[in-house]
Amino acid sequence: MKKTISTVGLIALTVLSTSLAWMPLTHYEVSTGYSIDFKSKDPSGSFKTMDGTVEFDDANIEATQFNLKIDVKSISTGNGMMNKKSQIEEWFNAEKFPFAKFKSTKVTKKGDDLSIVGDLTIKGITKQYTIPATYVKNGDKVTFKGTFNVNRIEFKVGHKSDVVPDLMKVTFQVPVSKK
Amino acid sequence: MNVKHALLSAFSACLLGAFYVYFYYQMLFDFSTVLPIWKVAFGLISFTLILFYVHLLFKRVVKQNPTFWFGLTFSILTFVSILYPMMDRVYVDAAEFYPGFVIPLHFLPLLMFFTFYQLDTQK
Repeated sequence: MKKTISTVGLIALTVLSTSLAWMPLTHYEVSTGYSIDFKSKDPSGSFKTMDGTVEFDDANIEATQFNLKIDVKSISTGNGMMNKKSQIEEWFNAEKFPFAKFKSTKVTKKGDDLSIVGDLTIKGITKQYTIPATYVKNGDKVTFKGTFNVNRIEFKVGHKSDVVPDLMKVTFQVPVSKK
Repeated sequence: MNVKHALLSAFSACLLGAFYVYFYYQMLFDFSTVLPIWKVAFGLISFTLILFYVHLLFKRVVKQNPTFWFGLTFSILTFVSILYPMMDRVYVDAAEFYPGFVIPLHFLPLLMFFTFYQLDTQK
Protein backbone atom coordinates (compact mmCIF):
# COMPACT_ATOMS: atom_id res chain seq x y z
CA MET A 1 0.00 0.00 0.00
CA LYS A 2 2.77 2.40 1.05
CA LYS A 3 4.70 1.49 -2.11
CA THR A 4 1.67 2.21 -4.31
CA ILE A 5 1.13 5.62 -2.70
CA SER A 6 4.77 6.62 -3.19
CA THR A 7 4.76 5.40 -6.80
CA VAL A 8 1.58 7.34 -7.59
CA GLY A 9 3.00 10.41 -5.80
CA LEU A 10 6.20 10.21 -7.82
CA ILE A 11 4.30 9.90 -11.10
CA ALA A 12 2.09 12.87 -10.12
CA LEU A 13 5.20 14.93 -9.33
CA THR A 14 6.69 14.01 -12.70
CA VAL A 15 3.52 15.00 -14.59
CA LEU A 16 3.20 18.27 -12.64
CA SER A 17 6.83 19.33 -13.02
CA THR A 18 6.91 18.37 -16.71
CA SER A 19 3.78 20.33 -17.51
CA LEU A 20 5.06 23.39 -15.60
CA ALA A 21 8.49 23.17 -17.23
CA TRP A 22 6.95 23.09 -20.71
CA MET A 23 4.24 25.64 -20.01
CA PRO A 24 4.57 28.29 -22.73
CA LEU A 25 5.81 31.69 -21.63
CA THR A 26 4.03 34.86 -22.62
CA HIS A 27 7.18 35.66 -24.51
CA TYR A 28 7.15 37.66 -27.72
CA GLU A 29 9.94 38.84 -29.94
CA VAL A 30 10.09 41.75 -32.34
CA SER A 31 9.16 40.55 -35.80
CA THR A 32 9.48 42.06 -39.25
CA GLY A 33 7.43 45.06 -40.31
CA TYR A 34 8.45 47.40 -37.50
CA SER A 35 9.09 51.09 -38.01
CA ILE A 36 10.74 53.70 -35.81
CA ASP A 37 10.35 57.10 -37.43
CA PHE A 38 11.41 60.49 -36.10
CA LYS A 39 10.21 63.82 -37.34
CA SER A 40 11.19 67.43 -36.78
CA LYS A 41 11.45 70.58 -38.87
CA ASP A 42 14.81 69.14 -39.95
CA PRO A 43 15.95 66.35 -39.94
CA SER A 44 13.40 63.53 -40.24
CA GLY A 45 13.95 59.87 -40.90
CA SER A 46 13.84 56.43 -39.38
CA PHE A 47 15.85 53.69 -37.76
CA LYS A 48 15.87 50.56 -39.86
CA THR A 49 17.10 47.94 -37.38
CA MET A 50 15.79 46.98 -33.98
CA ASP A 51 15.15 43.87 -31.93
CA GLY A 52 14.04 42.90 -28.48
CA THR A 53 11.54 41.04 -26.39
CA VAL A 54 8.11 41.73 -24.95
CA GLU A 55 6.49 39.76 -22.14
CA PHE A 56 2.82 40.12 -22.86
CA ASP A 57 -0.24 38.46 -21.39
CA ASP A 58 -3.61 39.61 -22.66
CA ALA A 59 -5.20 38.76 -19.33
CA ASN A 60 -2.62 40.71 -17.35
CA ILE A 61 -1.62 43.70 -19.47
CA GLU A 62 -0.05 45.53 -16.54
CA ALA A 63 2.60 42.81 -16.25
CA THR A 64 3.79 43.61 -19.78
CA GLN A 65 7.52 44.18 -20.05
CA PHE A 66 9.36 45.72 -22.98
CA ASN A 67 13.04 45.27 -23.58
CA LEU A 68 13.97 46.80 -26.92
CA LYS A 69 17.09 48.06 -28.61
CA ILE A 70 17.58 50.10 -31.74
CA ASP A 71 20.74 50.07 -33.81
CA VAL A 72 21.66 53.76 -34.13
CA LYS A 73 23.88 52.95 -37.12
CA SER A 74 20.72 52.01 -39.04
CA ILE A 75 19.55 55.64 -39.13
CA SER A 76 18.17 56.79 -42.46
CA THR A 77 17.51 60.47 -42.99
CA GLY A 78 17.38 60.33 -46.76
CA ASN A 79 20.75 62.08 -46.85
CA GLY A 80 23.87 59.92 -46.80
CA MET A 81 26.10 62.68 -45.47
CA MET A 82 23.68 63.38 -42.64
CA ASN A 83 23.46 59.65 -41.77
CA LYS A 84 27.23 59.51 -41.53
CA LYS A 85 27.45 62.70 -39.48
CA SER A 86 24.86 61.39 -36.99
CA GLN A 87 27.31 58.62 -35.99
CA ILE A 88 30.07 60.94 -34.80
CA GLU A 89 30.88 61.64 -31.14
CA GLU A 90 28.92 64.91 -31.08
CA TRP A 91 25.70 63.16 -32.11
CA PHE A 92 25.06 59.46 -31.35
CA ASN A 93 28.69 58.42 -30.85
CA ALA A 94 27.73 55.11 -32.45
CA GLU A 95 31.16 53.59 -32.01
CA LYS A 96 30.83 53.77 -28.21
CA PHE A 97 27.03 53.57 -27.91
CA PRO A 98 25.76 51.45 -30.81
CA PHE A 99 22.26 50.98 -29.40
CA ALA A 100 19.42 53.12 -28.07
CA LYS A 101 17.56 51.01 -25.51
CA PHE A 102 14.18 51.01 -23.85
CA LYS A 103 13.27 48.89 -20.84
CA SER A 104 9.82 49.31 -19.38
CA THR A 105 9.27 49.50 -15.63
CA LYS A 106 5.51 49.94 -15.44
CA VAL A 107 2.63 49.51 -17.86
CA THR A 108 -0.87 50.74 -17.15
CA LYS A 109 -3.99 50.34 -19.22
CA LYS A 110 -6.86 52.77 -19.56
CA GLY A 111 -9.51 51.64 -21.99
CA ASP A 112 -7.65 50.56 -25.11
CA ASP A 113 -4.67 52.79 -24.39
CA LEU A 114 -1.46 51.84 -22.69
CA SER A 115 0.86 54.05 -20.76
CA ILE A 116 4.34 52.59 -20.80
CA VAL A 117 6.77 53.97 -18.24
CA GLY A 118 10.37 52.94 -18.73
CA ASP A 119 14.04 53.78 -18.99
CA LEU A 120 15.14 55.17 -22.32
CA THR A 121 18.90 55.00 -22.80
CA ILE A 122 20.56 56.92 -25.59
CA LYS A 123 24.27 57.58 -25.77
CA GLY A 124 24.72 55.95 -22.36
CA ILE A 125 22.34 58.40 -20.67
CA THR A 126 19.18 56.96 -19.11
CA LYS A 127 16.00 58.98 -18.58
CA GLN A 128 12.56 57.89 -17.52
CA TYR A 129 9.95 58.33 -20.23
CA THR A 130 6.24 57.70 -20.32
CA ILE A 131 5.15 56.51 -23.73
CA PRO A 132 1.48 56.37 -24.74
CA ALA A 133 0.66 53.41 -26.97
CA THR A 134 -2.12 51.29 -28.37
CA TYR A 135 -1.99 47.63 -29.24
CA VAL A 136 -3.78 45.25 -31.56
CA LYS A 137 -3.65 41.51 -30.97
CA ASN A 138 -4.10 39.21 -33.92
CA GLY A 139 -3.52 35.54 -33.11
CA ASP A 140 0.09 35.07 -32.04
CA LYS A 141 1.03 38.56 -33.17
CA VAL A 142 0.63 41.81 -31.23
CA THR A 143 1.36 45.22 -32.73
CA PHE A 144 2.15 48.20 -30.51
CA LYS A 145 1.85 51.70 -31.94
CA GLY A 146 2.44 55.13 -30.49
CA THR A 147 3.97 58.57 -30.71
CA PHE A 148 6.05 60.48 -28.19
CA ASN A 149 8.61 63.28 -28.07
CA VAL A 150 12.26 62.83 -27.25
CA ASN A 151 14.37 65.75 -26.17
CA ARG A 152 17.73 65.08 -27.82
CA ILE A 153 19.48 67.60 -25.56
CA GLU A 154 18.68 65.45 -22.48
CA PHE A 155 20.73 62.68 -24.08
CA LYS A 156 23.52 64.96 -25.33
CA VAL A 157 22.73 64.07 -28.93
CA GLY A 158 24.15 67.15 -30.62
CA HIS A 159 24.13 70.62 -29.12
CA LYS A 160 21.42 73.22 -28.88
CA SER A 161 20.96 74.71 -32.28
CA ASP A 162 18.73 77.03 -34.27
CA VAL A 163 18.75 74.59 -37.15
CA VAL A 164 17.95 71.27 -35.42
CA PRO A 165 15.07 71.40 -32.93
CA ASP A 166 15.49 69.90 -29.45
CA LEU A 167 12.35 67.83 -29.67
CA MET A 168 12.04 64.91 -32.05
CA LYS A 169 8.62 63.40 -32.58
CA VAL A 170 9.05 59.63 -32.57
CA THR A 171 6.38 57.41 -34.10
CA PHE A 172 6.72 53.67 -33.69
CA GLN A 173 4.99 50.55 -34.85
CA VAL A 174 6.38 47.40 -33.28
CA PRO A 175 4.89 44.04 -34.22
CA VAL A 176 5.92 41.17 -31.94
CA SER A 177 5.35 37.44 -32.42
CA LYS A 178 5.02 34.70 -29.86
CA LYS A 179 8.12 32.55 -29.62
CA MET B 1 12.16 1.14 -7.17
CA ASN B 2 13.74 3.50 -4.65
CA VAL B 3 11.60 6.58 -4.22
CA LYS B 4 14.18 8.14 -1.88
CA HIS B 5 16.77 8.02 -4.67
CA ALA B 6 14.37 9.61 -7.15
CA LEU B 7 13.28 12.41 -4.83
CA LEU B 8 16.76 13.23 -3.51
CA SER B 9 18.20 13.34 -7.04
CA ALA B 10 15.34 15.47 -8.39
CA PHE B 11 15.21 17.98 -5.55
CA SER B 12 18.97 18.36 -5.28
CA ALA B 13 19.18 19.00 -9.06
CA CYS B 14 16.35 21.52 -8.66
CA LEU B 15 18.02 23.30 -5.72
CA LEU B 16 21.48 23.39 -7.27
CA GLY B 17 20.03 24.60 -10.56
CA ALA B 18 17.93 27.29 -8.90
CA PHE B 19 20.93 28.55 -6.87
CA TYR B 20 23.14 28.58 -9.96
CA VAL B 21 20.56 30.49 -12.02
CA TYR B 22 19.76 32.92 -9.18
CA PHE B 23 23.41 33.86 -8.64
CA TYR B 24 24.10 34.01 -12.37
CA TYR B 25 21.21 36.46 -12.81
CA GLN B 26 22.38 38.54 -9.85
CA MET B 27 26.06 38.62 -10.69
CA LEU B 28 26.45 38.27 -14.45
CA PHE B 29 23.38 38.72 -16.59
CA ASP B 30 19.66 38.40 -16.09
CA PHE B 31 18.12 36.07 -18.66
CA SER B 32 14.90 35.71 -16.64
CA THR B 33 12.74 37.05 -19.47
CA VAL B 34 13.62 34.03 -21.60
CA LEU B 35 14.32 31.51 -18.83
CA PRO B 36 12.65 32.21 -15.46
CA ILE B 37 14.05 30.42 -12.39
CA TRP B 38 10.80 28.51 -11.74
CA LYS B 39 10.98 26.97 -15.21
CA VAL B 40 14.54 25.80 -14.57
CA ALA B 41 13.51 24.32 -11.20
CA PHE B 42 10.54 22.35 -12.56
CA GLY B 43 12.48 21.35 -15.67
CA LEU B 44 15.26 19.82 -13.56
CA ILE B 45 12.79 17.93 -11.35
CA SER B 46 11.04 16.65 -14.45
CA PHE B 47 14.18 15.54 -16.30
CA THR B 48 15.71 13.87 -13.24
CA LEU B 49 12.52 11.89 -12.57
CA ILE B 50 12.31 10.89 -16.23
CA LEU B 51 15.91 9.61 -15.95
CA PHE B 52 14.79 7.55 -12.98
CA TYR B 53 11.96 5.88 -14.98
CA VAL B 54 14.22 5.26 -17.97
CA HIS B 55 16.77 3.65 -15.65
CA LEU B 56 14.04 1.32 -14.38
CA LEU B 57 13.24 0.46 -17.99
CA PHE B 58 16.91 -0.26 -18.73
CA LYS B 59 17.06 -2.57 -15.71
CA ARG B 60 14.13 -4.54 -17.09
CA VAL B 61 15.11 -4.63 -20.75
CA VAL B 62 18.91 -4.73 -20.80
CA LYS B 63 20.23 -8.02 -19.47
CA GLN B 64 23.89 -7.15 -18.86
CA ASN B 65 25.20 -4.00 -17.17
CA PRO B 66 21.96 -1.99 -17.54
CA THR B 67 23.26 0.94 -15.45
CA PHE B 68 26.40 1.17 -17.58
CA TRP B 69 24.35 1.31 -20.81
CA PHE B 70 21.94 3.78 -19.23
CA GLY B 71 24.81 6.05 -18.14
CA LEU B 72 26.48 5.83 -21.54
CA THR B 73 23.25 6.57 -23.42
CA PHE B 74 22.39 9.60 -21.32
CA SER B 75 25.94 10.93 -21.29
CA ILE B 76 25.80 10.98 -25.09
CA LEU B 77 22.27 12.44 -25.12
CA THR B 78 23.33 15.16 -22.64
CA PHE B 79 26.22 16.17 -24.88
CA VAL B 80 23.95 16.17 -27.92
CA SER B 81 21.37 18.29 -26.04
CA ILE B 82 23.84 21.15 -25.63
CA LEU B 83 23.53 21.77 -29.37
CA TYR B 84 20.03 23.12 -28.79
CA PRO B 85 20.99 26.22 -26.73
CA MET B 86 23.96 26.73 -29.05
CA MET B 87 21.63 27.01 -32.03
CA ASP B 88 18.76 28.78 -30.25
CA ARG B 89 18.78 32.51 -30.91
CA VAL B 90 17.59 34.58 -27.97
CA TYR B 91 16.75 38.22 -28.40
CA VAL B 92 18.24 39.72 -25.26
CA ASP B 93 21.30 41.76 -24.44
CA ALA B 94 24.39 39.60 -24.02
CA ALA B 95 22.69 36.82 -26.02
CA GLU B 96 26.16 35.50 -26.91
CA PHE B 97 26.56 34.39 -23.26
CA TYR B 98 23.27 32.48 -23.18
CA PRO B 99 24.59 29.07 -24.37
CA GLY B 100 27.47 29.23 -21.85
CA PHE B 101 25.00 29.99 -19.08
CA VAL B 102 22.50 27.27 -19.90
CA ILE B 103 24.83 24.36 -20.80
CA PRO B 104 25.88 23.44 -17.20
CA LEU B 105 22.19 22.93 -16.37
CA HIS B 106 21.99 20.10 -18.92
CA PHE B 107 24.45 18.04 -16.89
CA LEU B 108 22.72 18.41 -13.51
CA PRO B 109 20.04 15.67 -13.79
CA LEU B 110 22.55 12.92 -14.69
CA LEU B 111 25.08 14.21 -12.16
CA MET B 112 22.55 14.16 -9.33
CA PHE B 113 21.15 10.80 -10.44
CA PHE B 114 24.56 9.16 -10.07
CA THR B 115 25.46 11.16 -6.94
CA PHE B 116 22.61 9.44 -5.09
CA TYR B 117 22.77 6.18 -7.06
CA GLN B 118 24.06 4.29 -4.00
CA LEU B 119 20.57 4.67 -2.50
CA ASP B 120 19.11 2.79 -5.47
CA THR B 121 21.09 -0.33 -4.63
CA GLN B 122 19.94 -0.32 -0.99
CA LYS B 123 17.15 -2.69 -0.03
